[in-house]
Amino acid sequence: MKNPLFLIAALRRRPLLAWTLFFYIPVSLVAAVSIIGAQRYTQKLNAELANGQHTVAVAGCITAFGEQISKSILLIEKSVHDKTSPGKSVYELQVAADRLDQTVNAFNDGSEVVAPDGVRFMVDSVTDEKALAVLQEMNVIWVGIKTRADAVVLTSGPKKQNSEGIPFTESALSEASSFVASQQTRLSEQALAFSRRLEQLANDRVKALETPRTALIGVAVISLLLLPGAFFINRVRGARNAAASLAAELGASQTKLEAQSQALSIAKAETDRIMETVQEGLLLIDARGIIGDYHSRELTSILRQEQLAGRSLLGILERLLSEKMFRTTKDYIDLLFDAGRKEKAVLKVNPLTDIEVNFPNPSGGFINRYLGFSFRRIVENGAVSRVFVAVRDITTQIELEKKLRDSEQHKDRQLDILLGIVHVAPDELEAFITLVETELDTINDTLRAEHLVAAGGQGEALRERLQTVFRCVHNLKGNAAVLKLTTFQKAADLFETKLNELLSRPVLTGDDFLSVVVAQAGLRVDLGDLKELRGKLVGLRQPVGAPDASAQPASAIASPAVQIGAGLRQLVADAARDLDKATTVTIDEYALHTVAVDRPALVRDVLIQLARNSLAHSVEPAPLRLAGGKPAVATLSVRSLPRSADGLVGIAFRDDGRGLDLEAIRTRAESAGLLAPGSSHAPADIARCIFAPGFSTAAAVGAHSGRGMGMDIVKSKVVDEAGGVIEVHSTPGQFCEFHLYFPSASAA
Amino acid sequence: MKLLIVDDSLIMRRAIERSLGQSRFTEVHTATNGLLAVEMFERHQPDVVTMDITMPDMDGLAAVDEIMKRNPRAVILVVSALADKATAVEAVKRGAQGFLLKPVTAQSVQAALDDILSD
Repeated sequence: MKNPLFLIAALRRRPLLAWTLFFYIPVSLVAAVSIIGAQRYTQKLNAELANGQHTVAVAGCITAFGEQISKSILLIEKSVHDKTSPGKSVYELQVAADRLDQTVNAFNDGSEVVAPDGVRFMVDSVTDEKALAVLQEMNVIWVGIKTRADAVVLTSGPKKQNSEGIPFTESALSEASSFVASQQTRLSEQALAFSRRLEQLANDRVKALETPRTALIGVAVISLLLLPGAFFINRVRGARNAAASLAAELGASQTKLEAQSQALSIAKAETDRIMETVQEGLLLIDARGIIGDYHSRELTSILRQEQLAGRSLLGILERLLSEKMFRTTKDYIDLLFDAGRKEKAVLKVNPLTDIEVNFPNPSGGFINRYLGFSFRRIVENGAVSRVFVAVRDITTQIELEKKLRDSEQHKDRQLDILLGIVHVAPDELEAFITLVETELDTINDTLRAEHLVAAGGQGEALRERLQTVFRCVHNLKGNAAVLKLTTFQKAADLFETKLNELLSRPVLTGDDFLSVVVAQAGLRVDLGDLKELRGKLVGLRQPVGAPDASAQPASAIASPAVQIGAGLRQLVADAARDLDKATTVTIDEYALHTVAVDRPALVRDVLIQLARNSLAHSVEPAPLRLAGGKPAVATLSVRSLPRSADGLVGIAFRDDGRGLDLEAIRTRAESAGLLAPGSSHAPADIARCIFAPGFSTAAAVGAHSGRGMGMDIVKSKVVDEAGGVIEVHSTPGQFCEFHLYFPSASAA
Repeated sequence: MKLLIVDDSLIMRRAIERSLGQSRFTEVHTATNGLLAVEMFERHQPDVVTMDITMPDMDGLAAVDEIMKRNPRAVILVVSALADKATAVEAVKRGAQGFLLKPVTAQSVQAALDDILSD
């Protein structure tokens, strides 16, 4: 079952083999066989034709022999009648009779005869009925004639002249002659009929041979024509099939191509739509950082540039990033394209997750945005062929985050302030708020634009203004320290740092004041918070505070001197702890009252600075004090002074520390240009230097000292503001004492 | 497995050490600066090094260079602050394979170590 099917399948696949096996070879064989057959038939036909012609010719001879016999007998009869020799007539009669007999017998029994043209050939015995009937007729006629002819030959032959035999009488001859003559006519008729029949038979036989021969020739011709015809048709059909299948294949591939190109164009359209609408900058860059042909439309608005394809992303970033950031970005892109680095490790250190960029603003200045880049490698054949880049404008996000952070910080600050002020008496707080407001107003006024413009270019004028600001901030800081308002203390400290940095610059310009304005604004915000919280706190305190006020009127309406004293004790306690210098304070509150009654804030500010100055510079650490034979615990004291000659009221502020280190002050003053270097100076001149703005002998800046502004404040407050006098008394290693004299309003 | 923690801050060294928990490390060594880190690396041939960047004597980047010079197959995890992206890129450029963000937590240390040892 399988084999034929297999064969058919195989042949279907190989049509030429099939044609050869089932057409060309058989048809060639048929052609060959029919050609051979036709040849045979042609030979037979030729033989049959020759045979027929001879046979008919032989049959024709029967009439001729009969006529010869008849003629010979007549001649013999005439010679007998004329009594002349019959001559050769007898011989001729005998020959004719023999030949005719042979011929008739040949037709009867089949034997070799000689044709009239002398050819010897075989005559077949007649089998055809019609011919046979005619032959029987002829046989009968022939037997009659032969008997007469034989008798004539026997009696009148020349060789029989002397032999014995029945002598042929004239009458007998005559009878024989007339009989033969009559029979001879019949014989001729029969012979004619016989010969016609034979001819017809021969024709029939030829025809019988001609039909298959013609058929064979036809078959041969057709076969021979079929072979090239089929071959040609096959060739044509093969060519046509090949052309058709080629066309079909072409059509199919055309269809496939069309389908593919359609799918492609759909995909392309989709990609285009995505690239048109996606809210992200999507692009590909090559190893040189060149942007590929396709990128999302959003990229142009994110990077604020058109025609990005073919441009260098690095070139674009170079103008947007700081130099350091750009170098890092360049290194990073190299890492991205270095297939030897693990992508995971490289992606983790992406430096462009949130970078600040500055776009030039068409209307001047810059537009500040934040961009977030992310990267992915595209790896082909083990190498990074391109890098996929996604960019987003994350400004809103960053700003929100910043806002959140700011608001959290603000909350923290408020909480700090709140925690700071809960333990501060309301009137102290009030006084602090007034002080901060005053100082900020002073700062604000000092920084007023027109003043800066007026001072523009004049470095020294600017420097003076900065020093004024510094004094305000420093005073604020001291007061904040007294009340333990750490938020303000820290803010003021940062402010001081900035100011200090500015003061140390060789050249100052108006722009340098920007950070000062910002810091001032920050303090103002803190002040606003403080006021707001105070309001809330008053609401909280009221119900509790009211009965307290009646129970302890003294504390509620504590005198400025008592408040200043308490504040000073607190400040000293804190600073002593921070600096690890055990210190006590003794305060003559009455003495304090005499000077503070007219100007409590000023006296408080001055004493704060003096106390801070003493602790920072004069009071030694306990081991040093012990080594110097002093008590471990230092003492600061405030006591009264007798009125001066000018009628000024005075207080003394004293510490039992190391006093003024005149040598250190001189060195510092010389290097700061306050004293001429090298020459000798009176101790009073050296001591005076401590009141110069920005003067400090402390090596390091700390929360409690080092800015060199404390004594400047003391001087400006006491001398410039209050119109008082300062005296400094000091014994190195023993003490330092400041005598402060103020005009007394009450005294006047 | 052996780990070398390089950081000048005792707190950071302890923090990383504590983060390891019952982990795969059978030996943990520490170094307080780049010079010591290179020395410890040569002596103990650790499987992983966590490397702080800002250190006295020899900083982390220089130490990465020195260690990579001695063993280009060394596995170094750079510990750096978020703001210090340029340094992180520089460290990866010099051959560090991982990056651990400060401040560290037990999870972030574990994740970074898993990450760096997984491939």
